[in-house]
Amino acid sequence: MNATISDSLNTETKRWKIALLNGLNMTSLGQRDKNVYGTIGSLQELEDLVTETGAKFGVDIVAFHSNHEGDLVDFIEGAADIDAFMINPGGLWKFGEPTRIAFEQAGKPFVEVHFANIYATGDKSVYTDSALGTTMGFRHYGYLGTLVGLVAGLNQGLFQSR
Amino acid sequence: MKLSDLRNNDTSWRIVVLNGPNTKAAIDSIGNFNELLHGWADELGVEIDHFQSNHEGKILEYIHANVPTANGFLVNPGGLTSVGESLRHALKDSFRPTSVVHFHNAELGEPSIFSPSVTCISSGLDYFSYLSGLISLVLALDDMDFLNPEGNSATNRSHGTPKSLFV
Repeated sequence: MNATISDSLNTETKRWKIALLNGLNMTSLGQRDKNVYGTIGSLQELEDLVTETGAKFGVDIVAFHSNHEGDLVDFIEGAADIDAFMINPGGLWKFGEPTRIAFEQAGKPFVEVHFANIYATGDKSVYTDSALGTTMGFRHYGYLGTLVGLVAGLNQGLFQSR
Repeated sequence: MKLSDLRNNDTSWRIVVLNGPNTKAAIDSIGNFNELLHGWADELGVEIDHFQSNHEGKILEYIHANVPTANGFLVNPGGLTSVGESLRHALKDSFRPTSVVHFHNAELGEPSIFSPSVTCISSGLDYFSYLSGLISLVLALDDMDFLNPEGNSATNRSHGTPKSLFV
């Protein structure tokens, strides 16, 4: 407990590889409603921000995006070397069963991240019960908080039971 | 690398962490939770205060007393998650951005009157859900076009109301 969180993040025991998945319509980031998505300029900007932040903590980020759910399923099924996932599934939060099942089969921790608080619609995400974690409503800043929390927990061995 | 390196602002926001009924055992199991929170806050360059109570009325009074100096709330409603209407009112009345926090996603998956009502959600990363929520909230407070209380653009949400995708 005396060590700072940065000490615990900058571990030399294991270099984690975390996939950053962005799903449907996220390729349009920058042109979408700024009330929901804020001022970030593009999906590339978001992927670069997360990748650069990961590099600062000694974590490799593998960024992938597609407007086709099947591509996300293919990626998850082929991601044997990935330790954990962060995914913004876009509109798939409402019915993305194939993606959810792919995560269940992969057996790796994944965190669902959204710019907006999806729960404010009154509905529940199909991923909530399968996901390790959920971050919503912080716009793009939620990706950064999630990345730090995820890495800190992985370093502490908190998420290995999944 | 320090957590403050994530920021482009050095405002010392005051974040209030609230833990409701039935959360004491989980918090005590972490060790010295207050020390942990203050370590994170120091590294980010913000102030933090923590209040846990099994009594809803005490949490309400703590919120009433702290709203003038608080810039945001991180709230684990614990046993009040489905029934704490008065706590929900106190948070809405505060007009401060609020994130719910849950240790495990099983808690988020249960019926909640808070999840649809608050600005943000940080759930499932065990006690690091508080760290994830803290970092995200501070970065969002730094942004004039998001949660910064000095911001006045159309996209500013510092009054704490979530933007529904259906509105």
